[in-house]
Amino acid sequence: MSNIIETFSLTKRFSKATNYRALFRLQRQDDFTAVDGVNLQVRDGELFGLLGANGAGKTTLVKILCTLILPSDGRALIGGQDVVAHSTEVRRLIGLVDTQERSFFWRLTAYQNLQFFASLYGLKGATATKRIAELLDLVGLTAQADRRVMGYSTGMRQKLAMARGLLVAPQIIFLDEPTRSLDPVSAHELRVFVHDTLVKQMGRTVILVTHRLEEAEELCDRVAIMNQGQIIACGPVNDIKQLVTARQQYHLRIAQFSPTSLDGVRQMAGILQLEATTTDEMTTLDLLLDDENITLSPLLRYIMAQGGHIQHCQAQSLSLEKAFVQLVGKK
Amino acid sequence: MLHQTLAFIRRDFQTQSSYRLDFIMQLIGMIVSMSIFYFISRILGTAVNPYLLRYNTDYFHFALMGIAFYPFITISSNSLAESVHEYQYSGTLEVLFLSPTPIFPLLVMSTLWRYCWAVAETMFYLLTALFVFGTTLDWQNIFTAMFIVVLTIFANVGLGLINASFSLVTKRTSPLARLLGLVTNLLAGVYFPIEVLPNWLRFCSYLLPATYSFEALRRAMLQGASLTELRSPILALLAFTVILLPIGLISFKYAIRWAKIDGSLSQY
Repeated sequence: MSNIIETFSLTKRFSKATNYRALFRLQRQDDFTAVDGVNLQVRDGELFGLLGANGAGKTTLVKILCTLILPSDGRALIGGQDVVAHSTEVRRLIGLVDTQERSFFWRLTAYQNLQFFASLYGLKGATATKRIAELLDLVGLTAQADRRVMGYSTGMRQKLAMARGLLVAPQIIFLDEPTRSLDPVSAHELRVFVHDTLVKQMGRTVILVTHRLEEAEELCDRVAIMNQGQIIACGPVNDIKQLVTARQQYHLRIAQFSPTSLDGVRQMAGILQLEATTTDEMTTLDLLLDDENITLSPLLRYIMAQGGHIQHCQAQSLSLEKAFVQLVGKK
Repeated sequence: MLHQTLAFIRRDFQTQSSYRLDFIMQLIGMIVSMSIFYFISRILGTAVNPYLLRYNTDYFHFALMGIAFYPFITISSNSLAESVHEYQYSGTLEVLFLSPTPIFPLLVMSTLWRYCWAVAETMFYLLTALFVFGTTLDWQNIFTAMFIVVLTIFANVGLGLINASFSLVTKRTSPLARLLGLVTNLLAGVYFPIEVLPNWLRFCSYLLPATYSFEALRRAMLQGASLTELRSPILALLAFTVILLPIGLISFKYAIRWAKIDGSLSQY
């Protein structure tokens, strides 16, 4: 499978223009690096997840790939075309579903909005009418199609944004937080549509930018985790988890364990996180160990030495969320 | 491209028709402003006014030509900036930039409804003046007037591009647009002949393309002047086009590049 998106040391630095004179400076002072030497390859037909905390640089990276922001250094190719030198050709290949609140003409109805954007992309007449009807049906807005967008809820506008992004079903679709304001049923339907229809049936490449790690885990073939403008991990979800496998989460239930003994647990080397719940009969511990081979035996010995009866001890599989937190935290 | 052009006009028609009261108020406003100038003209009387002598007309006819054709001046110099500002405010500018059609033609298409509306406005003024106030215009010269209007648009659109560049970069209405609007009202001969102005201000008025537009339109519609007779203002308008249009295009290109470097296309 060939790469449809490739970046080479892609960098974006922003400068603060504090006054009008700054507009005319030839040498501008760069104050903030949003994307820092990113090298990324996304394969044709892949469902690729882009994860990162707020301000990690995900949106800037996507906007560079969508030709909306010019990079400071490095290159990005979409379908073999440079995003700076051949931006018009690149725009023919991409679609962006950006679910920000303001991106429609609020005085127009949903149908009129889609009709206008369909025209922008060269869809006309019966083809446009049919496509709009299909998409309104897909996102569940057929009954609301003749209502003005100004009366729509956030979730409805998000669905409409999805419909707009799919008007011409381009080869590469960037989905920026597509389920952010959707109810669970709508979010599930959308995920099924993205995975089964867009990627599996239609063979489109989808870049899913999301904070919902369980969503990325469920859908994506591969994910990249961004932190402070850099890609700190990239690969299949299981491989990402493997990066932090030495860290293991354990769930313990202990009888006759004094709450005062918890301080001793906290002070043990190799305990990264500890969440404790204590009742009269039982203490429940959720622990994240730096390395179970080193930490687990001394921990269990300490608990028994304090008179605790271990009734349950189970290693828990690490979620992508935990792996994400660990990776970002480690950096 | 024609299909897209019609889509922009349809979108703006749909938007404007959603403000029905606004539409009615605009019509009332036009009738009221025309009536004001009609009654001012009656106060001034029909005696020969030395300042209007060369137009061979009364004050109402003079002012009518100013208010009827003024929309083309404001639209050509402001509408691109207004479109940019509206797109920034509605959050649709980035969506337009994502279209395979380059942004400049899209922005030009965004202004077409305003031009359609200006044509309707001008015709409303002229026809109301004809049927209600009994004006006498040289209707045989309407095509000459239309040609002057087209030249006026080209002469001003360079300024429009500079204003749009300001909006892209500063996210505000261009200070140049405000200044230009004020100065045009005062100096370009919209409501009174520039001969009234002191010499130094009259010199300033010759630096405005609108001065030549109103001069040519009045002579065409009030005196029946031919294109040959209007060659001086026509050449002046062409000169403004040749000078301002490239400056406008370069500044607009620079402004887009700046906004893309700054990552501020969607900001307002």
